[in-house]
Amino acid sequence: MNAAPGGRVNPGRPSARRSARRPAALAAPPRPAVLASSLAFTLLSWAFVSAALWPVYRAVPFVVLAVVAIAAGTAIAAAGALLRWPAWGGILASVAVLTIIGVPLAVPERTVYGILPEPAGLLELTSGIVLGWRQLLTIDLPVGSYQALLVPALVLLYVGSLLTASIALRTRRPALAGAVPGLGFLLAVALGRDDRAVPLVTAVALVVVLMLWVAVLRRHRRTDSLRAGGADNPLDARGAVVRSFASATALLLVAGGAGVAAGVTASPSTDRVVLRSIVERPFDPRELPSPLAAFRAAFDPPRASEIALRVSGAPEGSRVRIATLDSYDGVVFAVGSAEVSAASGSFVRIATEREVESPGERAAIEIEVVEGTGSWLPTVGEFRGVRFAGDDAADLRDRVRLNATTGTAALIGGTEAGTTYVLDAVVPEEPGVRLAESSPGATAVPGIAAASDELRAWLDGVTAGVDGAGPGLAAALEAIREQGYVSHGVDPAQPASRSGHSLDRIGELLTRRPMVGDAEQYSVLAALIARELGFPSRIVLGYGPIAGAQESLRSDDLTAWIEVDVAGEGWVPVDVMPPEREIPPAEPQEPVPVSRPQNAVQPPAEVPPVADEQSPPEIEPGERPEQDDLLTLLLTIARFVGIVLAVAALIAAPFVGVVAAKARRRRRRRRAADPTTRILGGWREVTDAAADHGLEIPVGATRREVARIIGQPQAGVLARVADRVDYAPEPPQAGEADRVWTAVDAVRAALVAGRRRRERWRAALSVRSLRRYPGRSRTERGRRAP
Amino acid sequence: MTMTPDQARWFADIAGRIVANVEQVLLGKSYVIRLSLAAMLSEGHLLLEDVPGTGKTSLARALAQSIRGTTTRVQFTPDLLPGDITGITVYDQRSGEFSFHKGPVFATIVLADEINRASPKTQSALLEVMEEGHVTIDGVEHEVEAPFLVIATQNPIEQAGTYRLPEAQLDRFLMKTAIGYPDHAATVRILDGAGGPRASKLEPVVGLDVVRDLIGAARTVHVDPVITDYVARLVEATRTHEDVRLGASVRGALALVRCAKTYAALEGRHYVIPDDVKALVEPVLGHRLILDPESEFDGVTASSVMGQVLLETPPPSDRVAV
Repeated sequence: MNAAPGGRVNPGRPSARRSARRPAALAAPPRPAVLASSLAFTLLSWAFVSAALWPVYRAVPFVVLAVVAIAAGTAIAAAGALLRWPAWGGILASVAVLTIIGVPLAVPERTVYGILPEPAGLLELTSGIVLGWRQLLTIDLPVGSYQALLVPALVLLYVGSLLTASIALRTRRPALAGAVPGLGFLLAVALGRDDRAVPLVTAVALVVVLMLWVAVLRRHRRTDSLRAGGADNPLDARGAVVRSFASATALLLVAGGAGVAAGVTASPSTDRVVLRSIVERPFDPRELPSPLAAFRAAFDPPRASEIALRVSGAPEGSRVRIATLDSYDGVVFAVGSAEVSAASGSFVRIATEREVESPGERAAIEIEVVEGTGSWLPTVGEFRGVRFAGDDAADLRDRVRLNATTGTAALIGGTEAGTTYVLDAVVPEEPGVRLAESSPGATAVPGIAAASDELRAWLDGVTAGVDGAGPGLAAALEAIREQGYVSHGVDPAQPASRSGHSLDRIGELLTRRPMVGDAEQYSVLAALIARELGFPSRIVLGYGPIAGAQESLRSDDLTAWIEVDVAGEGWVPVDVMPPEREIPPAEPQEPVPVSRPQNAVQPPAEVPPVADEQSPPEIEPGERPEQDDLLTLLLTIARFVGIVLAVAALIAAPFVGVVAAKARRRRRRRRAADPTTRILGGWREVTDAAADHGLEIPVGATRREVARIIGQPQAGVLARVADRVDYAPEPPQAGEADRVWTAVDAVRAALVAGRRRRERWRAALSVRSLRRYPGRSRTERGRRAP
Repeated sequence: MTMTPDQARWFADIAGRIVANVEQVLLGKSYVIRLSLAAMLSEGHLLLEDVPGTGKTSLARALAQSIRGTTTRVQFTPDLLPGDITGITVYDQRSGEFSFHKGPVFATIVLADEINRASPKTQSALLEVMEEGHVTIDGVEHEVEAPFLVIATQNPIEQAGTYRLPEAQLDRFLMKTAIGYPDHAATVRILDGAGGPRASKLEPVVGLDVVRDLIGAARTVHVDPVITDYVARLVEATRTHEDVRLGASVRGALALVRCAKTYAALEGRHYVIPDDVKALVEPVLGHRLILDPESEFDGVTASSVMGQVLLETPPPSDRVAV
């Protein structure tokens, strides 16, 4: 070998030079110093990101999660770099670890003994990865370990640390890893509160760590560069190290000073824009007060006679719906339920217009809101669409939300006096259902508070001798109409009538004589009775049947009715108000006898002796149904085998796919019509086989250098032929392509020969050759002219 | 007209005989001999940065002897004048006319020893003839005969009292390399007296006419567009390298293509492949780079920069997607 002065490697020997200059990142695991500095940077930088996330959670479980997630992500990246895992191996390991640690860390309630994940926990983990971010942005902070809201933090810290360490240890530009915690920090800040100052101290600390690490990286890179160039003593770069650290220190002082100054001067009270400032929180009617609770306010004397709504174009007899209430906690009837994700509480945006399949009269109904109705947008019939008037029509249209289950609409931000819109609606005719002949439907509704003893007793009294839910409901409603008197309690001439619709008020309604109340109490009473009898029921607040095409509705026209779900009919509106009539004087207070069971605990029902009534067995005792048992056994085995085969097929599918893709590629190359393409394809096949067998092929290697790496004499011949075909002006010789492919097969066989079965399998399943060679695509300007 | 495979084999055969002939004098230095021959056949000149006693003079003389050429050696000193190299006009009293006395530059191979010891003015005189191929004295041009190769040397150790060649002048040298000390085996053979004949005693292999034919043939080697693209990418990479203040020039890129053609022919090929380019990148482009002073202070060399550029610049991929 021709040695140049200073012991340099002869530049005329590309292979020797290549091996001397091959970057450590491509050829071998990272050096210990690089490994240590990169891991330290990863751990520290993501610790700072965790600190930025702290205001979001403020809970001990988050600290545990952060420590474990960052450590796990960093450890996997380090193992991947040290053991030279292929990309798919790293991804599999990452997913497996996330599956194992995810539930105990992020959904600890869904574990057995705090460690083993339950299936439900895995489901929550999966859904949290996708949906948790949105939930996190639409909930008040801090969230602690509420539901699966720790999942976003787990994903951010685990994946972030994994990416950071992987980029630092396994790519040609490790400094890019610094961008990952930077982005993570920005995301953590963006997920945080909008009324807190940016954590400047943490940001400065992150920058400090980043700069120190880059300085260390630069030192290692410089040393590698000198070694690659054949420098005798890489330690000549000591000056560079000193200068790097000096520069870094100076920058640190500047950055730290700037950070402190900014921290002192920045006003923490100033709101800043974070994601939750932009993300629109979903409309949640549960956050609004129950409109039924404010029912009595509509009858206050100064307001009662004022116009509340002007409605024109509505078919006669139609009703104006303001809100539909279906959950009751014993105090207030409300929209939706806190415990149950009730369909009635779910409001969605309407893009253009809805398709309505219900039969009925289609109408364009203009409604002018004279007196604000809060967040509720009055509707008539089945909602198809809405068109607002005025300059802000588009904005108002965008704020409309609809609950298709109840036909209730809401306007985010609320209606104002003067809000005018035209409803495109389908108004169905009210079904003429006879309740006495009906039976309960099966629509699911939120559970409500248990009926009081007073209600049960009254109901028992009025339905005595009546069988069936439908006749019972009809009898009870008839009793309300007979016994009830209407008083809003605002007219001094009328007897007092307390507002409210708690169980206590309903009990008072039932026990006082005369029975006095208004739509608030009677609708609640009727809804509770319907539920008691098995009918799904709900209360609708709105305005009763409209008499004419154009009508001005006064505030005291407000009323409430119930809707009951009747089998075969659906929701049927039922008016429950007693007729307005003179209220008789109050009867003396006599205790209403309430029948109560003497013992709160019911005696156990007598269990009938079923043994004697059992039908005689079809087979004699001791005789086993062998045929059925065998069939059952076979079916069980078949089912088990089927499941095992399905799982095995699922697991094997990626591997089979890899082998099939390689076979298809090889066939395409071998059968190419053009001899040049066939020859170059043959060379590619050799290169791919070498890559799959774990040989490192540097980016800058030529064919002959690759052939030397492969080490097979025929590979060298193939490289020369491919070079001639690719770069010489004349076309390949006749029959040359076939000879090339014979040599290709020989080289592939030689690569396999002498290897253990496991290595052969690994090569066959390797995906390295399926990835495109980095930087090996021929550029347009360099493409050979036709 | 493009070189044919037969011509390429003829070219490689003759070049191989020349190299083998010179290698009798310079044991174990076939690579440098091939580079020197490539420089001559590419109509360029060679700069050797070497310590004394490595065989520079022997290389020049053996190469000249092998092609039936002439050789001169000029020891550059601070008091050397341009006329000492190019020649002078002398008044002939008998004829009453001025006659031109050729200087040492009029030879097939000129060994300019320690060129950095002469003044810039004298260096410029040599560089003019290297570039233009003629000497102008008193307004009269005097052509130097082809082939013409200047092998200039610099001592990398001794810097006192030297005039470093400016970058513009370095750019005129087609290649820069080093002979270096022989390896252990060659040293033992030299000490055993197996060093072969003296350079002046070598038998010529070919004549100057054949060398001129070789020069003409080297120009006809085929260069695929993707190879020129590769050269362009390499040159651009030197310009954007963080340790380089001034990258390779267009002249450098042209020189690389020219040398690659000759190198391919030396290998018996009538077309250039990326390996030819890679083999020549450092000797052709290395001395044309101006490194960042800070990087240079850190120990970065042109060699390490070129190594990194080669590693990070992928060669052309296959002509067709397969």
